[in-house]
Amino acid sequence: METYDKVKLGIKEDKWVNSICSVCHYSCGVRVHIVDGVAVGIEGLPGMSWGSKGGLCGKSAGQLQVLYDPNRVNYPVRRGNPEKGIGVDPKWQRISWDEAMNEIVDRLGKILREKPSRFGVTSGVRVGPGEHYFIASVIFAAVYGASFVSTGAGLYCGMATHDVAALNHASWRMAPDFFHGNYTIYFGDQIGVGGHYLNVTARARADGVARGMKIVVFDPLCHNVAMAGKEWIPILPGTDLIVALAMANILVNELGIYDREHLKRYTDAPYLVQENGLFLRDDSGEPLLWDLADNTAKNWKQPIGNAALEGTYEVRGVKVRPAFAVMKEHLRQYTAERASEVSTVPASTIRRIATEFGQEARIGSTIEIQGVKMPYRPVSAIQFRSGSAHTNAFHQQMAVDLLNQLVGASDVPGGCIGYGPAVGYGSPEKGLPTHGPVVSKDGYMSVQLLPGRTEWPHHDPEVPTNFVLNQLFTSMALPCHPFTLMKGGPELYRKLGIDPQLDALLVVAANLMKNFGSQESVAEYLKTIPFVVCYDIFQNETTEGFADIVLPSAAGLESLEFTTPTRRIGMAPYCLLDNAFPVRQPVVAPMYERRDYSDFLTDLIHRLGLTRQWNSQLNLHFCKFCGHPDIFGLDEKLSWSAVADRFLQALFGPEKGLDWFKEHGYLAWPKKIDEAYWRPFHEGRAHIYMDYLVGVGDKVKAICEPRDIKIDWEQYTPLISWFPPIIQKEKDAEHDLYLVTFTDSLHAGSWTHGIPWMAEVSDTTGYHYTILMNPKTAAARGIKDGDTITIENKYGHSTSGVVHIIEGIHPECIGTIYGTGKWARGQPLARGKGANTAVMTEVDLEHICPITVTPEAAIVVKVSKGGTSK
Amino acid sequence: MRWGMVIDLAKCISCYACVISCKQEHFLPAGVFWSRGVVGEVGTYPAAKKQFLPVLCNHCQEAACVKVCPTTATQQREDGIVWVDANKCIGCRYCVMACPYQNRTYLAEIKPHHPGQDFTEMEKMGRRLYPLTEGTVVKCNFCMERIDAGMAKGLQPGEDREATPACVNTCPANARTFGDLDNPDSLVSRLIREKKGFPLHHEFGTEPSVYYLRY
Repeated sequence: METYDKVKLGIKEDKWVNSICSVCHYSCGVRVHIVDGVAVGIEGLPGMSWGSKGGLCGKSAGQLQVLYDPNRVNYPVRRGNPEKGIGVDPKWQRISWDEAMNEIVDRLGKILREKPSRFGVTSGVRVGPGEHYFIASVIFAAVYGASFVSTGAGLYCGMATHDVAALNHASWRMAPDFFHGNYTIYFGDQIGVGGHYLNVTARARADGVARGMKIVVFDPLCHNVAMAGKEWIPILPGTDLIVALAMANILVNELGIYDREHLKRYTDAPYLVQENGLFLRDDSGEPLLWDLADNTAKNWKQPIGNAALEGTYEVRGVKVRPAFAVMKEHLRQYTAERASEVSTVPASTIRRIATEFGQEARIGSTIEIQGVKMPYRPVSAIQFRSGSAHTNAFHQQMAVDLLNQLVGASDVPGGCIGYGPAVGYGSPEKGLPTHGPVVSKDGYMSVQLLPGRTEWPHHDPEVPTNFVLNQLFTSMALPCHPFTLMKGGPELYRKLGIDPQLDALLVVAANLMKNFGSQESVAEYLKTIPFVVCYDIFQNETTEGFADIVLPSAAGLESLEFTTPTRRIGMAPYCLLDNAFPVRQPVVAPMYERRDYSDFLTDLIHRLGLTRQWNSQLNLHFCKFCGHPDIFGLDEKLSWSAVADRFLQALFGPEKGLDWFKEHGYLAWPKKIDEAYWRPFHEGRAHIYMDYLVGVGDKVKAICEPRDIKIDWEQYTPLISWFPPIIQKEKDAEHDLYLVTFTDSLHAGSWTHGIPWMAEVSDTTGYHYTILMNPKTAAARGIKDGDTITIENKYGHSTSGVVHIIEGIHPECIGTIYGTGKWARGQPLARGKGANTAVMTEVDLEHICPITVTPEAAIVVKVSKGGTSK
Repeated sequence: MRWGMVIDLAKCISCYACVISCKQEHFLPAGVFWSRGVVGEVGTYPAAKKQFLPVLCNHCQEAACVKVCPTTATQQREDGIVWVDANKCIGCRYCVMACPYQNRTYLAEIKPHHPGQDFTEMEKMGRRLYPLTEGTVVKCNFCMERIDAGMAKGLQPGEDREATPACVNTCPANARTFGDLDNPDSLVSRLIREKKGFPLHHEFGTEPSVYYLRY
């Protein structure tokens, strides 16, 4: 709404332009108000199911300020100071694009001819300039033969969640069905409240709450997710696992509440397990079940009358029991009392929540939606990064999902929903193809979420040839943090026979110094790379410390992006919200000498003589993945906008090319009921018993042990089990507190702390640039609100900050938001604010989940009064 | 007709989108907020609970600020909106002291959001489109420019986005509702009646037009 007199003000241009947000993973539909070429307003697109249907979070509004931030990188610059390191002044010297490109082409061309794998590409996942930066980087690395590192994976990513979501929900993560659910348990998650899935679920969650939905939150900190009528249950970090196991024990062994039909048909619960822990298989290698209908063993492919969940049987001379029976007995050790001792959650609370969850699951009930009758299970248990970022991450996430599987609350109305969505039937006008889970090895469901990767079965562990260790750790959802694993030097890689040395590194919209832990090790490693090029919108700790050349990136609202909806990794309409295909267009042309990364990359590719490989990969990533014939000729030199136009026309018809999308912003079509609640309509089983882990563990061990590499082999076990996180073992009389980190809806990573609106609001909250501490903890140490304290971990790394005393934090924990403690000059508003936890987060083989390589994000610390308050 | 707002605290997620959309809508300079969040806690561990209260001008029927203004710069419209005519405001700040809710700001200086650096292109355009006057008192005006322009086009505030306050439109959790308090059938009236909506500090006797729903 224009509220001013255009004629009086002499305004010539006044328009709104549709686009999509780029500040977090989600990509909400937005429209931007342009007055005489200046973007002055932004709001959510009311009709768009990507986002809050007209609502918008604060950090998305902050994009406007990013466009005009005087601290942006506006021109290519070269390092003037040969010294590199933390806090070193780079002494930037402005250079021309031609000069920068010539040097990059010369140096990368030489590496390409000699040893391409000594060139590395690392990209932020969407945050900032947009998803296409990440996707284009993946493709570029493949084209070049370079090493690729995702920086989204790792400390701030739900690595275990992604693996378990794929295995059990054919999706990238899980969410409660806020539309039909009545009861949900957050084991460390903030969906609908914060993080990068805020907008799409916020209104659904709020409506669920207004409808009377009960929300229970297990968390060391009472933050926004547990406010206002939700139940907060303080818990020690990394112990959600044993609480979830105790709840499973109560459901199965005390209350006898479990969904027998769901377990039999949609999980591996009836698979017969030998005394050695492995499935009993027939001659063709298929797992066997026991059919009570005719008392015979059958393989999972055969028609089963009534699969046994309990009992002991003898098949082929071998004593076997259904996996469910084995698990049921195994769970008995996890009493509420034992879980209470470990987690500090009262046993009576564990018992009450388990009972409420089981009763509200309404096993056997059905619901009719759009004329379709389906199972109705209005409960869910969910976890994301904050709950699972511990050395027991895989078992944590499996235990939480076990609660959903036990009561059948899996991808049915009211339950835990694979968020992606898992199933899509394409658009009405050809468009995106059908996708969804298929039945694969051992009867489990399998899904392809990303080009080139099938989520089940995992490939066999191999001796890695690349320092991105996903050849060895096969449950890793994304290649991640090899820099961090160089803590103490690249010894690990030498043992594996991998040359970790890079001759050049391209860092795209990522801040390696803040995204990873082991900050000093990362710094030492980056110093060894002779040629580092960063492509970013701001100077940050990585560019200032280690870049030789920094190139000026377009911001999200200055760029063209069509790749997001082609992925199936969680960024899509939720439950029955409309399907959509949005396109981001520049709402203003890139200012100064800023360029869209895709345009830079296209230019670079052609100059390096990689045009044929590039077009081949475009066909693979966009056409083949979307079920469409190849459309890119191998020798064509297409601009990014030409690629977009041709791809959109191929998907949606000649009339719906880039121009159509620029005018309309997005294409939407209704979702079908069996796209949203797909479980009753698709075969393929979920895991409650990980027979495969035995073999995987043996193979990883066979590779590692001869090379003197030790990880926690015990976690490669088929039964979901309690493994104490390493922080429980590290805690002692001196280092007696856990430092936990968190985020909220105002921030995505570290860079948003430098956006003015974000910064000035964060200054007012008391939760952003402080160290949160319980009054009892403070009193025992003589600490008062506002005191400066120093926090030190067991490895001699420390940071300091100002204490804010609150009741809503576990007395054995202190808390701080992550991404703070920045020292770069590039974003003055963020500089020197808050504690720097990245320097204290140790990431090595002892501090990762040995299955999913999730780093331990909580830190054992001691605190002392005093320090340098920033 | 009296415009009013209802904020559902059970839905609110403390995201500050309302605060930032307000800054955007009115091109408010650094350090100036017409919409704020008040953070606190109730209870003691382990029964403690974080609390967040989004606040803005209450557009009181018996507005203390209107009563004390010596120049009639602060005035109340027939539709209940309390606003400040910058042309009449002399910056005496009586209203700032009189407001029991502390929702008024004296605009001593229009500062850029990047300290020590020039105003950005967006900030400069903001001053053209939405002038603010240094040395006057500023506060939330229920986005009366949107209401007036929208109603002139036949739109209904609270129902049509273009005629509705920015904070209401942007709320990711749909926690805010806007409408006519004098109309017993309006959504705001029904929410207040059916869900026992309450104003802040009823005992102040100012009869606010902003109501809250308890969780």
